[in-house]
Amino acid sequence: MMNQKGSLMNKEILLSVNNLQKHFQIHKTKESPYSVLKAVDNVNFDIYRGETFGLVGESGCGKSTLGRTILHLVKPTSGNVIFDGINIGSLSKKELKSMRKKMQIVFQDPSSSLNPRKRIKDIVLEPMLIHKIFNKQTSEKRVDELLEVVGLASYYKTRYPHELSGGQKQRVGIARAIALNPKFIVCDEAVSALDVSVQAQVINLLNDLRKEFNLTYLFISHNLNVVYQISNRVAVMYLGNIMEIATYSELYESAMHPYTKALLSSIPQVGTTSKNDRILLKGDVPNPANPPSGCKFHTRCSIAIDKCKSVTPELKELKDKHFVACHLAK
Amino acid sequence: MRINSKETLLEVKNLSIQFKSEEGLVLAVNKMNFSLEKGEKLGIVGESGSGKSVTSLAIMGLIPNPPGEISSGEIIFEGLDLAKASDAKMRKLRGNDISMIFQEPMTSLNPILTCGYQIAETLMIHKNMKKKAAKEVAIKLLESVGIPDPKTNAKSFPHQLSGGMRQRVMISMALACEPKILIADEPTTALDVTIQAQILDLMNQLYNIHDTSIILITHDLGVVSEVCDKVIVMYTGHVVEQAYTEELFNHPCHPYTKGLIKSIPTITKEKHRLEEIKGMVPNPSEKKIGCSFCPRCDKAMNICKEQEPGLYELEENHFVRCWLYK
Repeated sequence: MMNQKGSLMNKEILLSVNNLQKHFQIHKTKESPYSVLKAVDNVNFDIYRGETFGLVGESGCGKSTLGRTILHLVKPTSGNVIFDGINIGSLSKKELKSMRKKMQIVFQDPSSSLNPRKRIKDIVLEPMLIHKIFNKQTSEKRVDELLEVVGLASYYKTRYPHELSGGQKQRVGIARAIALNPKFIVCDEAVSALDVSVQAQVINLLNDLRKEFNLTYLFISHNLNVVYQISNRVAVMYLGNIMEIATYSELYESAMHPYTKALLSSIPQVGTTSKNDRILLKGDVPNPANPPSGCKFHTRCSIAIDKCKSVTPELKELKDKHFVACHLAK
Repeated sequence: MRINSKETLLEVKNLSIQFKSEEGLVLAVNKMNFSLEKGEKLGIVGESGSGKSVTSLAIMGLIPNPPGEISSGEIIFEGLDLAKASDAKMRKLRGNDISMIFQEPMTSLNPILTCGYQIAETLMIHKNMKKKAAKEVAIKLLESVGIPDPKTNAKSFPHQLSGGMRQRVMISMALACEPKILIADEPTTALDVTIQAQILDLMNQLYNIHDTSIILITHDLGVVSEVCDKVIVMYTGHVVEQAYTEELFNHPCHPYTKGLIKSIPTITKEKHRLEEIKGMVPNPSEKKIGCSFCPRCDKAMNICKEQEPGLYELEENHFVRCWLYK
């Protein structure tokens, strides 16, 4: 059982995202004569200390870009990110570097995010050397400690990434992320490349680490089941916009946005045979370089009205802690 | 479910497939037995490396040789043993009587041919159609799988279509010759959930129209649970459990199946810690004695370490490979 109440009762904001935008310049081609791709478009939300904030959406909706923009791995076009009371965008290069100790990231594909020519211990050690926290002598102990925390035997220290399985590699990625005792970790599709039995191990590990080290996660995934399992609150993203934010139980019991409802009903569940109430969305996700006007979801929405085509709905708090961007949600 | 005829279409007997590797012979599939009835939807589930895809390639006669080969067993389809059939015979069968949908439509479609032509090609080869007639049928096929504006899209190249659309093209190609068996290898794994729902719905619709049996290969138990009549669970090349879908999900018996079902995160009202299967899938080149799941099994007994269990029939049509059920 998650520490749901404990972490939400003392609602202290750790990270606050305000009007964040990330636009990419793209080449014009015959098929898409558009020059700006709004990957992240006016995103606002707060993440509380000690919670897991899930971010879910289909491929190309901008969820990974959002995660990277929050960490300022890519520079936002406009808007700001306040972390622990500090505006990250206003920091100098040097200040940002020392800030990075507090914010880390775990990537999707563990094979491509670990340097194949480095041994596991050097991979885990690298952030500590960069930030000059440990020297080589005292570090050996720290590496042992970290590997033990993520459930890897210490004899893996001298192995290379290719000698490890996917789940083990992801554990190394996690060990590297927590090496500097960060406060905040972005998990970008951290369990998507793993088999289900291993995926469950890593989800449980992430949950245990969160409690043990009082971490805060932004957990990005396309898999609603996984996001639901791990998160305290969930945000649903579509074509650069946040469509709905709610606690996981609220989302399960009363999702309000038609897109969230369709997403929830699309997931094949084990043991359920009731497929009749499935909401099938029409068509594909539109080209993000040329999104529909008004509400970006209106082209696939079954209940869209004329207003949806012209007016962009704002993200409004319709119930306590339940935000929805839909003209028709009440 | 349309299983009342009970006519066996495909029978796999004692199938073993091995690959030569630097670490020696690797047994990818080990003495596999199953049968596919006419009109049945059979699911094969397992984690990566369990041998599920290799099984489907063997049926299609597509095992890369070398390094792979069918070392023993038979695959009987309409009285013909596909394991020993000649290349020419297999070419006649493939895409005609048995066809296949692959996981990644982008890499399995030819990037320099239009979608319409690729579908027409199948018809020209197997049905001896003229190019013009075949292209017209191709457009009809594209329409039947829900591709908007099929006339224009028949002229588009794979890269111009989205992932969901490409998979629709693959499906229309596979169904072009009205095959008796359709093998779908992870057909929705590369797709988003909303698109996956569309494709599964389409496959169900087409299944109801055409007289096709389906073998669905996936790692997603949710998909299997929704689509299939019968399920085979594979682990390290072995069939560990086989039963009708409802029976399997309501009364899973093998510790691996039980663990697999419990380790999937589900959206339910109450959240609880996921139950994990400890350890990981063993390296396939390791020589094993006893049950291959034994090191990860919490119910393992002494005999599990020493002797390999057989496939025991618990009830009618429910088979389990576990000493607990001997």
